[in-house]
Amino acid sequence: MNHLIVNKGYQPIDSLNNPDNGQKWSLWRKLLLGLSPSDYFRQVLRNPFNWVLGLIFAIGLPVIIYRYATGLGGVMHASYDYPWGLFLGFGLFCMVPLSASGFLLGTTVELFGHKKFKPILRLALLNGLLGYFFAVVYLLVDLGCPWRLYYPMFVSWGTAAVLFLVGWHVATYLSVQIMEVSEAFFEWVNWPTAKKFIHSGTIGLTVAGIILSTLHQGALGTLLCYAPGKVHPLWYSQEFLWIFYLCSSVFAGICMVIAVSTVVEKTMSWRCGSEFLDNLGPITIGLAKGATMALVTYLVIKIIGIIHDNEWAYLTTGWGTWFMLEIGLGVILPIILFSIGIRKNSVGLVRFTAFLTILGLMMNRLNTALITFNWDLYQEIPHPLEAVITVTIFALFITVYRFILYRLPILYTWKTVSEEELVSIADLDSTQTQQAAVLVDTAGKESLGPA
Amino acid sequence: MNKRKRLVLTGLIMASFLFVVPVFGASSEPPASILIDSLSYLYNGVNFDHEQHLEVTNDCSVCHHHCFGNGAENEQCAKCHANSNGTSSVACGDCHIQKPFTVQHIREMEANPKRYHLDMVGLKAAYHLRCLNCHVEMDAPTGCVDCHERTDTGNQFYHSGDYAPIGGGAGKVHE
Amino acid sequence: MRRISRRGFFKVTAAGSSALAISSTKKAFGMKEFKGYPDSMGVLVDLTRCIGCRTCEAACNKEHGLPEPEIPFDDFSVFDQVFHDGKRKRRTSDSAYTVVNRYDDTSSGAPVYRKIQCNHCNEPACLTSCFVNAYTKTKEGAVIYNPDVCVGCRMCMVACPFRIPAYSYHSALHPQIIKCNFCYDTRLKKGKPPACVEACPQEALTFGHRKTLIKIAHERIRSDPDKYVDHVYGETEVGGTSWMYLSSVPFDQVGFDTSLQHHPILDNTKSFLGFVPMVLGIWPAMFMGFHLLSTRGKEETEKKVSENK
Repeated sequence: MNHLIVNKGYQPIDSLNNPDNGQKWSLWRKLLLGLSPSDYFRQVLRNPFNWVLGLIFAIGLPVIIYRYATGLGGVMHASYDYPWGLFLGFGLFCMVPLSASGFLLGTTVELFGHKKFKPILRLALLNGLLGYFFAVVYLLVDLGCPWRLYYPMFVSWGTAAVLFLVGWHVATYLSVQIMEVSEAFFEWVNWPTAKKFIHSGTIGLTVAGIILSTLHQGALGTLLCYAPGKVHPLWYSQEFLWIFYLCSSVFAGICMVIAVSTVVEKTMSWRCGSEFLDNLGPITIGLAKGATMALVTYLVIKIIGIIHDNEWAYLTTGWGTWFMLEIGLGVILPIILFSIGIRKNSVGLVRFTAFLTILGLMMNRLNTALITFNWDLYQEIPHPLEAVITVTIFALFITVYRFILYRLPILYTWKTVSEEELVSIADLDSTQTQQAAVLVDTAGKESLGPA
Repeated sequence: MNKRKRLVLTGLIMASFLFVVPVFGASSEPPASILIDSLSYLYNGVNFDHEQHLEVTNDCSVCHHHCFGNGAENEQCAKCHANSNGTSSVACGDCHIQKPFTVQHIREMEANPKRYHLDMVGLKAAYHLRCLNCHVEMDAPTGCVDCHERTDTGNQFYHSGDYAPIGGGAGKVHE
Repeated sequence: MRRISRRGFFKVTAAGSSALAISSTKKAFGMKEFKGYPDSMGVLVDLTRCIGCRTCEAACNKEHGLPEPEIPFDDFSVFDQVFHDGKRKRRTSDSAYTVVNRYDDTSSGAPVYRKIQCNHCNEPACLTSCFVNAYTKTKEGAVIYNPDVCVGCRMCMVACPFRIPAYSYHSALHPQIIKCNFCYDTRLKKGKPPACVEACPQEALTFGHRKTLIKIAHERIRSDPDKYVDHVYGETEVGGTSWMYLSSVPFDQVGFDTSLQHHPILDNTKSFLGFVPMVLGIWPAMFMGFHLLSTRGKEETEKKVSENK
């Protein structure tokens, strides 16, 4: 894409009408990003990252087919002691907290009116939507009978089960998020009535998002309350596990937004609007402040958890070292680094710390759901094919994520003008184009290096 | 009033039993051997050498509890039965029933809340518990087929002998 | 009479996630402590009587038409099998509802055998954690499973404190949970004892009403205190189980988890579920309040700023 921008003066579609002739873009052209089919596919083939994705799919998709042909036993250890593996350990337990971004930024911007964060709101909402969606995709791989996914909704209700609450909430929250993100979609397909309708319900959707998120983020932790004794005491807490999960989802969601915005800025700055790019620095610092507060709260309740259950003796064991490593690298170090980053206004340091925090969170979720599970029995390393499928679905996640970011007005503002106006602002438009070209030029040069 | 009458009546009936001479009392001769085959299904019956076992134990109450009216070997039983009279029958199967877990029997046992012998084993367990515990103590044979031959049904049941799984068997995992 | 799910008392009539969430907590909380069905049946396993003949395993295999064993049921070499670097002995699997394991009594050196199978909890974790209600605790005491509604999430396997349920991972189209069902369909509901109990030569397995079995168990301990450990495993563990155990060696030496809680696993989720109605009731009003407070002030200042300009 950068190649096209630099060499051909290519302008990505960001408006309803083609600025050259004032005609509305066709859907086909919009899908192809305004390129001719041959240009588009040349562009796809030129990007080495696409080759990496292609390689992953070439290996992973047959493995997924194999999983459905032979049953879970073909790609898992088929262990009765470890019923859950990476699909749920990573796909559900990590993806869901990392997707808390939608409700967090929705609350901040729409409910508390912090308009400062508005340029990143849609990215946060999309991140939430896709995270949940792919958590469900992971579920479809993991469930023994994925074709019965709707059973807890329509066929048989196990209403006393925490998983029932998780299932219903993830399903309803997914619908809420689809509606939230659909605003951008309706702009893109030019359906203003629908957009207006959704927009009128923003506050309602946001509040629904808060309720559903508070409950199911916590519920995910409560799932492990069914397995006391199997989860190591340091990670288990009957009273606090849901608070741990809820609180950590706050900084996880925020850090995921910082991380994704970083990747986006580095790899697809051509797609970012000026509003997004210009404000990203202060927004990142602002997000870091929120994340730090959540991290400190989390650290405090983690310590309270240890005191409450009197688990000090466990800290001296091997598991205790592992626990302290998780807290040290995933909580305490981020608190320190974030504080330094915020004080020195260093976006780079904050971004690094966000990635670190994400790793710390994943470590925590994998620890509770997988690694310390059956801690006094034996440890099991997941089947290699399980890892292959997990990576493949994550690659699919990235592909879909990128596909949407390239097209829908998530990172940029969709320009709609009536045809009469179009003529009158033609002068202004050309200056804007020049500005954008300069911007793209610098950004293009930056990111041409690794490509 | 009614209740008392019934109690008295029951007492009288029970007392009358005490005077009846047991059919297999200490007076009649013990059998030399007994064919235990009422339960044979997976295994053939056992031709039990009663005489030999009597020689070894030299005390009927080891196996027959207090049924001969000469006290009970087991301390626990002796608490009540040290001086009780012999019973009308001493055959194992007369007290230890073949099917101890039928609804009817469970109801019967629970009908009287004061019943002491709630925990009476069935006939199969009575044999095995008595025989095996002693065989272990005396270092006598304890393998299943040491006492009774396995039937064809038994081999089928255990997936053994002619019915052993192909490629399976002891050697496969044992070594 | 149809089997009654005790949760069936609380029929949820309203759809929608919030209504469901409320009802789920109502279920968890409205319930007084559940002591099990009054006429629940059970089995008392007396480890001192078990001789490790594996007849119960064979009887179970036959009763349920399970796959042919790899090793004959009269082959005792299976007792030497260990898995995962010796950390695990044989366990229930997709081809065995029950297995017997051998342990060594460290004090006497004599082998002790222990049969494992589903313990049929009074308030089973598998049942209460299942989001499609695939499990039923019947009034006879059996915990049975309905593969027709099972989605295959395997939450029950995670939740089972005894690590009993197995899963037919290798079935692509009909994978399901596989576990002991107390011979519910073939025997229990007809008033017959389970196949393993009937087959046991030693009556190491005693079948009866759970409450009678508790009496019998304590009587056995009382009448022979030197022989038995003074504990009936399963009387109170995880809220009580239909299958209970007596042992002559400390339970933790023969593979029992003695660290289990003595109240139902379901209780552990109550502190969270208690939070659910609060969120549903308080959050909307609270956050709308926050919204009004935080945006009204801002809109006014924004207006002022624009006016000043």
